[in-house]
Parts: sequence; C-alpha cells; structure tokens
Amino acid sequence: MDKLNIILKSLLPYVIDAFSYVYGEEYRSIISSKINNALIIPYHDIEGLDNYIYYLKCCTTRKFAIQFLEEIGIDVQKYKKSNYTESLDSDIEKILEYYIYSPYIGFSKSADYLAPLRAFKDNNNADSESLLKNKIKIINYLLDSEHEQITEDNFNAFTETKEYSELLKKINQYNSVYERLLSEYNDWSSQLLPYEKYVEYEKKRKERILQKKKDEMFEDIFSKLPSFLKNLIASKTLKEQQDAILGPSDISYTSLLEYFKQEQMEKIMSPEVKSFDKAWIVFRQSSYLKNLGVTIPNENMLKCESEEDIIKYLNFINQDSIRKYILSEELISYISSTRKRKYEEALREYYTTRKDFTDTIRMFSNNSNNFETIYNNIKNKIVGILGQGATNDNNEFVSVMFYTIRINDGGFLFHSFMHENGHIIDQNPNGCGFEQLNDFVNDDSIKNTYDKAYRKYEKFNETLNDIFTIEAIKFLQNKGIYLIESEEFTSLDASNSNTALITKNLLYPLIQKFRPQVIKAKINADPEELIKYIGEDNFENLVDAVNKVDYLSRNGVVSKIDKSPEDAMVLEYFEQVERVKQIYINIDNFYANKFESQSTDNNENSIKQV
Amino acid sequence: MMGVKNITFEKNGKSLNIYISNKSKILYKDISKTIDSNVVFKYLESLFSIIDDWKKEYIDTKTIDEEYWNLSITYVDDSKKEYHGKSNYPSNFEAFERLNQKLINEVLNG
Repeated sequence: MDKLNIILKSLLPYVIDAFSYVYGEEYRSIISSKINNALIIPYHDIEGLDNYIYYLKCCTTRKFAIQFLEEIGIDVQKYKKSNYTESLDSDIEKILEYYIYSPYIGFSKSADYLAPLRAFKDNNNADSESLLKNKIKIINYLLDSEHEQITEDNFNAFTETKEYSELLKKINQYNSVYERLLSEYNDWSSQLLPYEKYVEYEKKRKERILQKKKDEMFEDIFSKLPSFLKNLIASKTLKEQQDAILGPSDISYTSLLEYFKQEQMEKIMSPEVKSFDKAWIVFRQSSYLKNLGVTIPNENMLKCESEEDIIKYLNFINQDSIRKYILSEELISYISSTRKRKYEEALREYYTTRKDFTDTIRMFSNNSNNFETIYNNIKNKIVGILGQGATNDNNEFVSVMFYTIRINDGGFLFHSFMHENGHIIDQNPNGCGFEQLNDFVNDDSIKNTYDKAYRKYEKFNETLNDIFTIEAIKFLQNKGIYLIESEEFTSLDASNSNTALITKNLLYPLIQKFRPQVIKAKINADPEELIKYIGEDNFENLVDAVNKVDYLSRNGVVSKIDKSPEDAMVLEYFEQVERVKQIYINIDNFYANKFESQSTDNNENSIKQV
Repeated sequence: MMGVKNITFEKNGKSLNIYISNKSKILYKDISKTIDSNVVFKYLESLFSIIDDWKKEYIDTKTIDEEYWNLSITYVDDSKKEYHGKSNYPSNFEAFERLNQKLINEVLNG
C-alpha cells in the first residue's frame, strides 16, 4: 500500500532499462536523457483515489473469498489465480452468496446485514428480520435438497431439532474460518486507513469551500430579493433560507430558482421537448414553491403527461398569487451567473491550496500561463504529456508528464505510466512520434476522417506506442519487476488497454518488417524516417486503416466479430483487414523497387536484415 | 421513475450502469445490487441538476493522450440523451464524478 505515494522518479531507471531493451541499446543515452530530464508531476485525483481504494479492496476480498471456500472444503482449484484483478467466476459468486453474500460485501461493514454466516454471530448489528432471512438462506443451502424448505413459519420449530444442532456445528466451524480471515483482511485493510482519511479530509475540505462560496453568494442575492420573499423566509435559519431559495445542493448544481429562467419556461411549452424533461423542470419549480409554503392543488399535473397537465400547470404558476414568488428574469440570470462564478472560485480555491498543487507550482517559473496550465491539468485530472513540452533552466526542451490515479485506472497503472514514458521518449521540439508539433497546438490541425475528436496521426501514434509499451512491460515483468502496483494488483492483460488489440494487429507486420525504421522515426519525431522506406501513399493508407478500425473498435465491433459476422461493422472491419494486407504488398513492392535494385551490401539504409 | 430507464457512464473502458424499474439495479465492477427507489430518485434529481446545461460534446485535441468518456441516458420510450468528451469536460464534471462515487460508496456500505 505504500506504493500509492511512491516517488515516480525512483522508478525511472527501470523505465530506461525496459525501453532501451525494446528500442535498442544504441538509444539508451537518448532515452535516459529524455526520461531523466522530464518533469514528472504526480498529483491526486480524490475521487480516483477513493475508487482505487475500492479496487484494491475488491482484489483482496476476492482472494480471501477463494481462501475461505477452500478452507471450508469446497474445491476451488480451477478458480485460483495468480491475481484477482478480475471478477470471480459466476459459479463461485453464486456459492459465496449463501455464505458471505459476495467477496466485497462479505468483508465490509455491510456483512452484518447481508452475509448469511454473520447472522449466527452474537455481536451482529442487523435488524432481526435481516438476521432471520440470512439464517434461513444458509440453512436451506446446506440442507439436503430433499429436505423440507425452512421458512419463517417453521424456522423456530426447526431450531429445536437435532438436525439443526448438527448444522449449527458446521456453521460455527465455517464462522471460525470466516472470522479468522475477516481479521486478517482487517489487518491488511488497516494500511489503507491513512489514504481513506486523506480522501475524507479532502472531500470535507472541498465541501467547506463550496459551502463558504454558497454563503457568500446567498448573502449577495438575499439583498436583491423582493421584500415579500425576504420577509417570508426571515424567521428561518440561514441554511433553511438557502435550501428554500437555492435548494440543498452545493453550487455545482443548478439551483431551484434557475428553473424559472425563460429558456426553461420555453422548454415546458415546447412540443419538441419530451414530457420527461418537462416533468423534471416542473418538479424543480414546484420544489421551490413548496419550500416557500405554496400548496400545489393538483400534484398529477406535475407529471406533464398530457398537454392538459401542462396548461393546468402554467395557468397555476401564472396566477398573481403564485407569480409573486417567481423572480424577474434579470435577477434569475444574475443568480445563475453568480452561482457559476462562485463555483469556479470554489474550485480554484480548492485545487490551488492543495499541497500537490503548491508542490507542482514550485517546479515551474512563476507566471500566470504556467499557473493556469497546472490548474487546468489537475482540475481536469489529466494523465498525459503536454503537447508543447517545456524548457528547462538550461534552455533545453523537456517533456512534462501529469500523472494521477483516476477513476477506473486500477490494474493499469503500470501500463499507463510506461505508456506516458513512451511518449516522453518520442517527444522533441518538432513533435511527438508520428505527430508534428502543429498537430497539438493548432485547432485547425488535420483531423481523423472517422472521428473529428482525434488528430489524423493520433491513433497510429498511440497504437505503436502501446505495442512498444507492452513489450517494455513484459521485459520488466519477466524479471519480476512491477511498477506502481504490485503483481497482485496489476491487470495481466493490457492487450486492449488504450487501443484495441484488433487495431494493434494491423501494425504488427509493420514492426516485424521495419522495426528499426519505425523506432528511428518515433524517437526522432520524424515520420520521414519510415515514409522513405514504405512510400507516402502506403503510409497514409495504413494510417487511414488504423483510424477506421480504431473507430469500429470504439463503437463495439470487437464483441460482434464472432457473434454477428453479417453485421455491417464486422464486414467493414474485415474489408479493412483485407485492405491492410494489400497495403503491405504495396509496401513490399515499393521497398523492392526503391532499395533492392540497389546494392545493399554497403548501404546504410538497407533493411535487408529484416 | 421520472421517465428514465437506464443510465450508463463509461470512462477508461469501464462502465457504471443503473437500470431503473420497480427493482432498480446498479452494476459497477463487482457491484451488482438492487437499490432503493429513494436512492435512485435522489441520484436522478442530482444528476439532472448537474447536467442541466451540458453540451453534447467536449473535445480537446491538444493533449497527447486522450481520456474518453460518455454518459448515456435512456428514457422509457427508448429515446436517448448522450454526452461525451475527450480530455475535456463540462465545468462541473467533478460534481458528476463525486455524485457517482457517493452512490457507489452508499451502495457498498449499505
């Protein structure tokens, strides 16, 4: 667990060794220089850390659950694994349900309420109804299938039988195994406590800042409220006043009053807007009115299920006696813009006063551009390399990596860290791998034909980086080295991580035939180092096929390849596979025409050896 | 409940699913659990207040690595609302992540 706050810099010698092995020792010096000079910025994503603690607990409880079943005599040999980063087999989950409910629940605070075995413990906090249900659940499971089912009606009578006494002995034995494992698990999980406390501390700190800004906002808008409303809520506490006017949520949420804005009223009246959406707006508006003591005469109209409901509702809120509660459009707009401004102020105060932010700021020159870049990257929880890089004190170009554990990153920290280092190796002032600097800095850079959210060469670059990253990871894993996460928490299959395996498969032949050229082009951020051997048209066609297959993979083609061979996406995928085969034939022809007609014996550009 | 049938949020290749019916259910990694209708209602109420002024798309093409996310809301008439992004987020996205993590923690801790 101490790995969570490990200093990423201490891992760099392993990264250098791995990529030097993959790219060739001749590149060690350049790899070493780029990696060691890079600014690596570890920071916290609080929700990500919270989620990661859950991930660690999931992996560990699965291991303990399997151990539990094994120790009570169930054959689990085929379900034992070297690590438990994936969910257990559904057959095992079903068995566990009758003993401890599920791996995670069985070792959590909810076990008292849900784990059948816990129902037989004296110190159980659950209500008697849950206890009885859980007892009956495990008893019926352990009884012979021929036996009469135990129910709430016959349970007491059954507890008087000898059969029950025998069963209870067995259950007590199981419980002693369970208790011991629970205690071992609690010992293990106690090392997570400092991180759990940190997460709670930061969550509360953010809540306090958000509340402070809500208070400031309310003070401002209260003075602008009509006297009638001020008087109406005057006797309430500050919190009650805020809840009545804005709603109980923090200022990241749209406040109740804002649902009376003109655009929201237009939605209620529009035939284009679905009744569900209208009902949500009306629900918020009615909450506001109810908070102020208004009685809604007909709750049914709030469902907005018919035109009649909507007319009734609009007539209702347009009465003078109701209209007086609704603020002017101008004031509502002011409240809306103030809330958004205060929310941004709250986020800025929260992030820029956190230790990881202030530590990062000290690494850079003190200017507003650096401040904003760091703030936005930490706020947006970016894991990646800054496209434009940075310059160090010696005026040398250096890469900047932001790294954190985000939601759902568990199991892939080794991969993501190595992947980012792969980009560092590829980055120089001209660009990164097969992407040129302009691709990152210009909004109008050429985009991926199939998805404008991506740059044209982005997926080609990412896929190659993933292929080499996986090689580098394997090199370390074969030596028993795991970075950031230990082996038991590292997902062993990263083949679909970041880019899909079917996309990677398109580029394996390229690496097989032109490995030195691909590496040279990547490390120098100079695509020409490859293009001159394979031809520009072939290169562009390959990039296009990668973009297409990547697009298909992100739209669900992988799960359809075996199940729905006639699906349009699957047919398109196989067309691309055939297309790529032809591209490789064209590449061979291009190379043969250009190089094999020349003497290769003394030609430094020769790739005859591949 | 209030016209919503299903909520799916995908990020980093993992998804959080909430199926809404008389017996609403949450699916997330190891969690597969029915959830109380009040919890679902509160979640939806918060969700719609967070996404109230979200645009459909948030794209940043200037970062070397991407993080793709997608939120899909399916209504009872099978119509859908979708929001997605790449390395870019609505200004209150952190509130949405807090809301999801709170729901997960609530479900886990009973």
